[in-house]
Formats: sequence, structure tokens, C-alpha cells
Amino acid sequence: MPGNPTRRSILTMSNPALLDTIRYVETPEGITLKLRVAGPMARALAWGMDSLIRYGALWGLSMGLVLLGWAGLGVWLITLFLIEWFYPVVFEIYADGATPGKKALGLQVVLANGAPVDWPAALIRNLLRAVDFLPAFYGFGVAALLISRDFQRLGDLAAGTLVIYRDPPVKTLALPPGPALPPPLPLSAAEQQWLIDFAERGSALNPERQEELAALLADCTSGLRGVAAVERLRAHARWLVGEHS
Amino acid sequence: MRLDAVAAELRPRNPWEATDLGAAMLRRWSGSVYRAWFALALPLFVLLHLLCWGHWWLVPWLLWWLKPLLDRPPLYILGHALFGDAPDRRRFWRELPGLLRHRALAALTWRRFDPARSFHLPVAQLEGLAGKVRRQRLRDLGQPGRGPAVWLTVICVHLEIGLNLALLILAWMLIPDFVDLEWHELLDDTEPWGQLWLNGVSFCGMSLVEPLYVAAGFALYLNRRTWLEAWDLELGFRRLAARLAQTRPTMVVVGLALGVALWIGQPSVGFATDAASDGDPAMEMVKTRCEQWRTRVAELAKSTDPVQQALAETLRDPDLRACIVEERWRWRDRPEPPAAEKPVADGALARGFAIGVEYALWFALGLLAAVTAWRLWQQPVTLRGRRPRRAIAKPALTLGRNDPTAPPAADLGEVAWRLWTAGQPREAVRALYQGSLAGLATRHGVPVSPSATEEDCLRLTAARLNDAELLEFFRRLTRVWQATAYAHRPPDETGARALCAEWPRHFAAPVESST
Repeated sequence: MPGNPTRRSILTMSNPALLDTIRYVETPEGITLKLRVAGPMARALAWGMDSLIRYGALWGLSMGLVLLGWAGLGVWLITLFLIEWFYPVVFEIYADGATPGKKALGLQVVLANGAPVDWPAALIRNLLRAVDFLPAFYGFGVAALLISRDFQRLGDLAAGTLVIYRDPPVKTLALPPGPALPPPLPLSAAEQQWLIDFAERGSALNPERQEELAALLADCTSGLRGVAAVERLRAHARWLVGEHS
Repeated sequence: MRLDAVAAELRPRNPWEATDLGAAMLRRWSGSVYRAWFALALPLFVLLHLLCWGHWWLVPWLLWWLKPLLDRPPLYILGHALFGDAPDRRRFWRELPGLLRHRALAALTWRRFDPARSFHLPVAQLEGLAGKVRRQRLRDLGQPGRGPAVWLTVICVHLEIGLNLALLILAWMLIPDFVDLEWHELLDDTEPWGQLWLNGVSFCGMSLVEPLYVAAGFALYLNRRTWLEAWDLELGFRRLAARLAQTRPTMVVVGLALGVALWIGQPSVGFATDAASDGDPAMEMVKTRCEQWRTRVAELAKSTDPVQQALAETLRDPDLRACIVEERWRWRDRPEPPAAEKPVADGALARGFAIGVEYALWFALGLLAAVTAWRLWQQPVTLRGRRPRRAIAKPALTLGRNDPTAPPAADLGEVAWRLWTAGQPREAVRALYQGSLAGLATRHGVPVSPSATEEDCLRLTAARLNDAELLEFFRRLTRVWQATAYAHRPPDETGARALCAEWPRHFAAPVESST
């Protein structure tokens, strides 16, 4: 399920008033999914890569077909037509909603409710590329992408599709080994997640910053200072992920 | 910079997601950002035309060269708006000269060709760093941020060129047929008016893309700092610390209770098994369970309390019985029953039947074709044979437990009593119950998750608070709420009045008296 980059649970709902690039989809079971919609830059790069692949393939084909004369030209034109219109459709249906360019950037096409893209949607969104391309070089497409809330171009709006970031493989950053201690008071899901993130991402922060953050939670560390406070929070995090010593 | 006033979700993102946040920021504050951009760029556009009179082809190049200065007002607006400090017009104009003067020469000369310009701009402009300190800071921000920033520049260059061409072609498309104009005349820069037109188009393209470039670069910078300094964790820790400061007096009690809570809440287990051999441990367990069940029902039946007897009666109902033991005899090696002799069908009869079925099938096929044809005649085929999607109204969360962090109103007891007297008993009890949940979360530090059932709430409270009186009250309230909500049996007047009167003592009173 699409979520945040690090290990994250859907329990930690973020504040909806804050500006973010997430589309919330509520399932009939009352579970809220987070779809991280992808914006102009990533999609432009993916499109560029796909263009290189398409035209590279056509160029390679023309090298071979030129030997066949007029018949070769005919075959080449038919291939051009097919690739130009159906390259994205076929990949979106048969390769998890991602053309090679999209796959390289970790993007995926899904329906607006998060379900895999189906034939009608894939056909519509890619046939309407012609409209998005108007007046030239995706002028309307880029404008629609920037204006619409979920970065949808006109084809996406018509087909009811989104381009989202597929979840990166789950990163289970190892907690540094050490003792585990229960936190001194019950914590909500979001609060537990903050403690665990603190312990997991510790290596990316410099020691002074870690101590500064730990000092914010003086109530939780029962007045410990400096490195000891950091260590105490880590011990709580270890306990929260299930290490009990 | 006030981190708690930040208006965007600062979580660690991948770089492309960060640029998306930039696009979202631009969308949110597009009015003020574009105003700030045009406040500087438009006068400059006019001024350059006046200065380069007769050499108007120079203007787009000069504007392009001055981009590092033009980028500053949009970033100024974004940087302030993000932290809840949107500047008004007067302040903007007052601070603009200083903004433009800061290291202007460096920005326009040896840093003009910095490929990650928009990513580095916040360091110089918002942190006000220069020289060696700035270089050190950029090194700290590090390589992982730089690569995407360079790609961002590449994309935006292409975007700008593409948009310029798109604008030209759009203009040509919109020129009506009776105007005698060839397409190449739109690109004619030998006449001064043609040059002015081209300058205008390139100015429009630049104005559309450049704020996006600045916003995306700023978002990359924010993301890098979020990774390096864990801004999201700082915000979270601050919120947690604020909550702890509220509930501090109860903390010791809660801490003790937590240990107990871990051992409570083992749910009873139901079994279903078809194993029948004696001595099977699973079977034994089922039997024990059944035995326990029977004794419990028998005890209930013996009680003099009519409610308990009714309960026993209900539990005896076959539909509600928890387990049934059936004991049966079975052959050990029972021989297979011999297959019955199939009667040989009469040939003629079978053939006649088959022909009948065949005619029926052909008739069905014809009917199907006719119906299909009729349907097609009646309504033309649409592109997608689907009905328009209709939005389904979502039910509001009935218990309103979605915001347990807001403390309940102090006079909730009176409010509930007024509701009761106004003939809305259900609303009254609901208000009391909801208020209790909010009170539990805020006053007593018992975080109730939105998915908890009433029994979960009770169990959690019992485990975490050792206040028998409060617990008794909460249990009573829960039962009343359940009877009202699910059985439509609201409490009588004395009961309701007692609940309303007693409620503030437990959930609205200061913490000291309750623990």
C-alpha cells in the first residue's frame, strides 16, 4: 500500500490542514489509504525516458527495415502508429501501471480509488494525450497538472486516474542494539512512531541534534541529560518495536 | 523561524516528492507569489525596452541573465508564508531593496551558471550566508540534494522552451482565417513590433515557469533539512511534550497501571472441531469449556434476580448456545453401499427430449438477439457503458471520537440535562459519553483509539486508572449509552439527572481530585 518512505503505519494520520501531496482514499471498511500523488517533475522525467526508449526502438527498427524498400517503410509506419498510441496502454495494463520510464522513477498509474488501472481508463488517458499535447509540447497537460489538486492532466481527469509513487521496498532500518525499556506512560500510535523514527534515523543526525531533540522530551526521560537521554529514548523505541529484554 | 507554525507537512520525502510539495506550495500561495514576481519582473521588462531602444532583441537575454535577482521576491514570499508570516505589501516593498542587494554581484556573475541555482538560493537568501560559511553549509546539505536540483534545472529549461513554443502555436491557432497572416510572420523579428511580440511571449513563458522552479528548489532545500535535522520529529516531540505537561500529575499512577494493562485483555477463545476420538486434547478442552458453560447457565438460572434468570433463559436458546456436543456411533469399516442399477432409458423418448431441448435453446438464442437489437435501437451505445458515478454521502463519525485531543466542555453536564429536558435523551447520553471519552484522553491521559469499542474503552480505563469511583461511573454511563444507542431504551428521569449531576465530578474536575 502506498505510504510514506520509511516504515510507517496508516495510523499516523497527518493533520489535514497542512499542505501535502497526498490523496486520501477511504475504503468501504473505513480504512484510509494514503496515495502519494506524483507531480510535474517526476512525470516529465519519466516521459523523457519513455520517449528515448520509443524513438530509440523506432530508429533501430528503421535501420533494419530500410533494406526492404517500400514494404519496409510500410511496416515501419504501422509500427510507428502502434508504438505511438499503444506503448503506454500496454505497459500500464500488463506491467503494474508503469511504463519503463515510470518504473525507473518509481511511479505507477492507478485509478482514483487506488485500484489497478483497467482497460477503459488506460485507453482514455492515453488517447487524450493528444489533447494534453496541445497546443504544443504538452502545454495544456502541464497547465492542468499544475492547477488540479492531485496533479492530474486532462487525460487523467477524463479517465479518473492518478499517477502515484509506488511504495519503495520497506526499509527496516536496524535499531542499534541495546537495552529495551517500556515508556513511562501510554503513547498514541503517532507518538510511538515518532520515538521509533527517532531511533531509526539517529545515524543521519549529528549527535548534538539528537541530544537537542531528546531534551524536548525531558518528561519522558525522567530528567536525564545529553547522551543518556538519547539512549533512554532509544531503549523505549526498542521496547516499542517488540524487543523485550 | 517558528517550526510549529509551519503550514506544510514536513516529512522525509524522496526528492521528486519534495518538488511536488513545491508545486503544491506554489498553488496554495499562487496569488501572492505571482504578484511578487510581476512586481519586479514587469517594471524591469518595460525598463529594459526603454533602455535598449532600437536593440530590443537584447531584452530577453538580459532578462534571462537577471533571473537570479528575479527569483528572490517569490522565494521571499514562499519562505515567509510557509512559516505563517506572510508579509503585507508595505513590508514587501520595504525589504525588497535589501533583498536584491544581498550578494547581487556574485549571483549575477560567477554564480550565474550554478546548475542547482534554486536549491542553493535559500541558503544565501533565507539563511543570509555568504562566502566560506555558505560553502560549508552547502557541503553540509550535501550531495544527495544536489543531483535532483540539477535535474530540476534541466527540466525547467525544457519546460520554459516548450511553453514558449506552445504559446506561439496557441496564438497562431487562435488567429481567425480572415486575418491574412502566415505562420512564419509570427516569428518575424525584423520589424520592431514582431520583436516586441516575441519578447512578450518569452516573458510569459519565463513568468510561468520561474516561480515553479524557485518553489520546487525551495522544497528540495526544506526536504534536505528535514532529513538532516529531523524537523518532523522535532514537531512531534514538541506536541508530545505539550501533552505530557498537561497530564503530568497522573503520570505516576498511569505508569504503574501500564504494567498491569499488559496482562489484561486475554480474550476468550472459541473452538470448533470435528475430532471425535476420546483422549484428543482439543476435544477434552471443548468438553471442559462446555462444562464451564453449563455450570454458568445453571448458576444464573438459580439466581433470584429476574434479570439473571432472563439471561439464563436467553443463553439456553439454541441459537445462542456456545457449544454443542454430539456423540454418535459410527461403523469402523463400513462397506461401500452398492451402486444402484441405472434404468436404461427408452431410446425414442430420450431422442424426443433432446430435440425439444435443442429447439428451446435455439428459441432462447433468437430471443436474446432480438432483445439485444431492441436495446441497441432504444439507446445508442455510449463510449463507456457506465453510469455516471454518484458521490455517496459519507456518514459522519457517530461517536465523534475523531478528535480526542480536544478537552470536553466544562458545563457538559448541564448541556446534557438541557438536551434531556428538551426531549432529546439520545443526544443527551451521547454528549455525556463522548465527553467522557474526551475527558479520559485529555484529563486522565488514557488515549482512546477511534476504533475502540465500548468494551475496549472500559477495559482500557480499568487497566490504566485505579479510581474505583470513576470506573464505576464510567461503567454505568457505558451501559446507559449502550441501552440508549442500541436498544432505544433511554434512562428514566432520576437516572439521567444523576448521571448529568455526577459527570463533571469525574471528567470535568481538575486532575488532582480524581487520582
